[in-house]
Amino acid sequence: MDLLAELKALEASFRAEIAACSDDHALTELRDRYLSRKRGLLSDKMRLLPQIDPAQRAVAGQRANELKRLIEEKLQERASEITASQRAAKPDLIDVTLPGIRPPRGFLHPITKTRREICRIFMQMGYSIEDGPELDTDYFNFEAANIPPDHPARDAQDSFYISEDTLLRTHTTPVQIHSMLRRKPPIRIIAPGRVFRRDATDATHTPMFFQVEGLVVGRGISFAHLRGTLQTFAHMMFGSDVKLRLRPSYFPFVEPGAEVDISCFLCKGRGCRVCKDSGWIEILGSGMVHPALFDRVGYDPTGLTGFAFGMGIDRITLLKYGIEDTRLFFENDLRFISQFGG
Amino acid sequence: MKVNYLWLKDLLPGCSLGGPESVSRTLTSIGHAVDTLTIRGEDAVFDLDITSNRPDCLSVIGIARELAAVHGASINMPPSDVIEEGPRIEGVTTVIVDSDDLCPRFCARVMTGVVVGESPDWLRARLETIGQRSINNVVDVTNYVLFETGHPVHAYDLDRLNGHMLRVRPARPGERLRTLDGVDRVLDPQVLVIADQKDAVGLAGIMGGEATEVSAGTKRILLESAAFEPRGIRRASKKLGLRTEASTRLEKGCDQEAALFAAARVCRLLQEMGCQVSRGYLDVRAASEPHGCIDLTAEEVATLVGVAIPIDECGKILEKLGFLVRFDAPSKLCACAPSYRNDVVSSVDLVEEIARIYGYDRIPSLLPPLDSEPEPLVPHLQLEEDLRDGLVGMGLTEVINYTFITPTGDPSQMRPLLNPISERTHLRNTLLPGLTESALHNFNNGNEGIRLFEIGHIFHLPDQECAALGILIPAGLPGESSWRSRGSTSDYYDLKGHIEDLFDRIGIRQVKFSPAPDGCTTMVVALLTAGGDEIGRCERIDIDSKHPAYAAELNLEALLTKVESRVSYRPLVRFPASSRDVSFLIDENIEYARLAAVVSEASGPEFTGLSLIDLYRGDKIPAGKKSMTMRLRYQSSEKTLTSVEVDSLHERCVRALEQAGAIRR
Repeated sequence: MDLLAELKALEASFRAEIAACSDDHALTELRDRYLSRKRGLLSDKMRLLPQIDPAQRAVAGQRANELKRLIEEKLQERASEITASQRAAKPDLIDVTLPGIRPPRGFLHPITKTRREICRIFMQMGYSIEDGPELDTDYFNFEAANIPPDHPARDAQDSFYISEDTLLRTHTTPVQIHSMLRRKPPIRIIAPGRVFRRDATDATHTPMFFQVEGLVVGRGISFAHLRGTLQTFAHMMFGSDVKLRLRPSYFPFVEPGAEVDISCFLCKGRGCRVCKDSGWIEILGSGMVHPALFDRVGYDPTGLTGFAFGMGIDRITLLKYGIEDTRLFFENDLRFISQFGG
Repeated sequence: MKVNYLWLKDLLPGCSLGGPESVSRTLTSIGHAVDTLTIRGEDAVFDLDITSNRPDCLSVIGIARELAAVHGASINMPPSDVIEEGPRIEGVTTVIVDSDDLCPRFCARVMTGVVVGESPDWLRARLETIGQRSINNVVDVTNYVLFETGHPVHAYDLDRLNGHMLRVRPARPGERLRTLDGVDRVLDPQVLVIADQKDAVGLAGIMGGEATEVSAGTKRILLESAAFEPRGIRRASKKLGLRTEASTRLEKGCDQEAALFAAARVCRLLQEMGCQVSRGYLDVRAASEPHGCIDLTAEEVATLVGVAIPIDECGKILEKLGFLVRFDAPSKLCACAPSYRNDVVSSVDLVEEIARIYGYDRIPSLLPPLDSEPEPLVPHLQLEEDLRDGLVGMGLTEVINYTFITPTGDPSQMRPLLNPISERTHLRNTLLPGLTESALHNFNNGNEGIRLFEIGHIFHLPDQECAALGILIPAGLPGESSWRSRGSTSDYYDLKGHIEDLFDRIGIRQVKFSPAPDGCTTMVVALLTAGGDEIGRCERIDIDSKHPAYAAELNLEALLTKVESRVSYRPLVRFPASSRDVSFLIDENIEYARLAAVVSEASGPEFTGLSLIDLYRGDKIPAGKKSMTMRLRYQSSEKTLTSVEVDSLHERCVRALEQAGAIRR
């Protein structure tokens, strides 16, 4: 019995058979027929090894192992050929209507989105962004803003105190003061940030909210410039068809002062729930910088003028999206936050 | 404040106001915003939002004056002439003002033959339209005059005043007074009172006392019409927690010149109802400075408003508003404010008066010249924005929590609010409790994909405020799963991976995660340092008893100092890289960072990277050991490394690992 010859014959028959295999199933069968431990043709031959002449055994054993490796290699090779040819013949079965696999998605808080929108508009108009501490002194929050102790305007801004002299800022006006002290005119800044008022929480009030204030100081800055700036802002923020209305109002740090309304962008001025049937929505307060502020920061007020404005980011977000309750901003419910886009 | 249309019409006869809607628009356009307009048949009620600088407009006459100025009309002041009879007032009562700095004017009148009873229908009806309940004729008349003139008048029962006199003085320490609202109040010298010979009978400018109140049996009344120093009223009103129609006007400053008129109006109306007015009046007043004149130039108006309004037009507007105007020079005027306009003290105030009557809507819209140089975003704000974008890009969601929190840990480490309004009593010294609260809210509402972050200020003792970033990733929960794969369970390594990725994005390198040292709270898992400075920490926290999470807090100021250039470009290496894997067993207590350091020290310049591709702990390997497989990459910038060269480089690294205790598998 010449085992070597038999192995050679086995190899020849394997080569012939594998060439004829055309699918995975046939390959599996072929593999079993040659390599199956119990009945495999090659396994049968290998079981004969101990019985043959020891002089031949080493050579035959090596050959058998080589043949086994060859069979395995060829099987693998043929398998990938089959896969490739199948793919070429027929693309993967795709149900194009199955849900896509989405990457995890995160969301910016709507207040951040509105803040960025507001800041971007003013940056396009050449403004720099300033910020400052949330905890500030009574002087910077009130006195430097022309609101001395016992001033009636303090009523509207009931404050959280940390010490007799330190409070959580009630508006971002102290940032304007700090900026004026640090800079020299001409100045063109906006200051976004958290502010705090001791208001009971309800659908339109939270003890913390967000403001953006703007300040422009220079020679020849007028109320007409304030109006033009706010009109540009309103057009960019709410659409070019909104109209602007300025009403005289009072803020101790500006004179003349103005409350600013835009025509209701929901009902186009016809009257609705949001504008309380007036056709107008109040969006910000503004005015010409009171000379007392220049005095406080050591500017020579001769020929120097400026305007300032401030708006609630929360309020603008509420208006823009028709959100009914401002408390939702700080509940941080993902069902809420995820409605405003990435 | 409520004002009704017919009352205004009475004061403005012959002025074509043009109906309630038109009046509403006019008032709004000159700075008196109409909150609501309620039409009631022929009449209408305006609910006005009067700004705090205009106490003169907290009255029907004040509003009528404003409308008159707009329409160029004049106001028909209601009659205040009376027929005086009986004894002169000086023989009946006296008024002594001890603190004339706090009470610059005190007028008094006496009325006799008073019969307290119901008010006539017209009076009841008019008070009702502005939301005032009728009490009796005397009280109703004083109320009516308060709303008409804006000046509070108080009526005392003269016969119940000890010594039939009034004295304005600071309260005595511990002095008691039962006010008209039935509340017993304990006073102190910071509160100004009206007293008789013995006791306090009223809180000056705020509320009268019950003992001397006008009642059914009252025959003679003493009327007080006074002006007080506004800040004193304000402080007392705040201190006592008592605000009244009188105090809300007097604390903003009232027209001293109206005091006598208001008293006369009360006399006149009560006389119409059958009472007698005693002869004369008392008028105790401190020397006061008349309003100074304010200069204004046409140029000032043009600069501030941005439109040239001729000086004579400016003058006309001011005159219509009751100012005395003198033209000193061709383009200059000098204006003196009427007594009721204490708010106008400088030229900018005049400009506002002119602009608001001229019409804000007639001022053009211009853009200011760009004379300041635009600046890039300051680095710390840029960092915050980059962090937000990075985290959202990784699938985290931004939350915003209150800056004040209910202390959960040690409150002695937090700054308390002196006057909190809820159980949120302290300033937060960490963002993590807020993130935990947000996560809990979302769990309770069954929301998925809860991976949160917040950027905000935190506060440390004694007075440090700094910006921080907090990140929270729930642990042990599967992430989002799909029909194709189940989400994997997140843990500390997900948190760390987010932080590492974030740092890559913002240009922070060389960050070290070290195990929490002894002494840290058990919650702290790892400390983050960069260049030896602590920049943050990772904690394991419990959202609730069922939901653990991993959270990190990073100090943004410290982080900012560690930001290197985000981009450091290197030319591409043209020669191929090779990698070799090594699997080994090693003692459990040897950290990965130690092994990475060993490899990096042992290797030469051709070693370009290391990744851990398998980590196994379990019963298939000896106890106390872990099995690791590392993949090391080699590349030369000068040539293609041969297989033999790579093997030799790799062997050096493997041997170093073996010296560190690795047993090659």
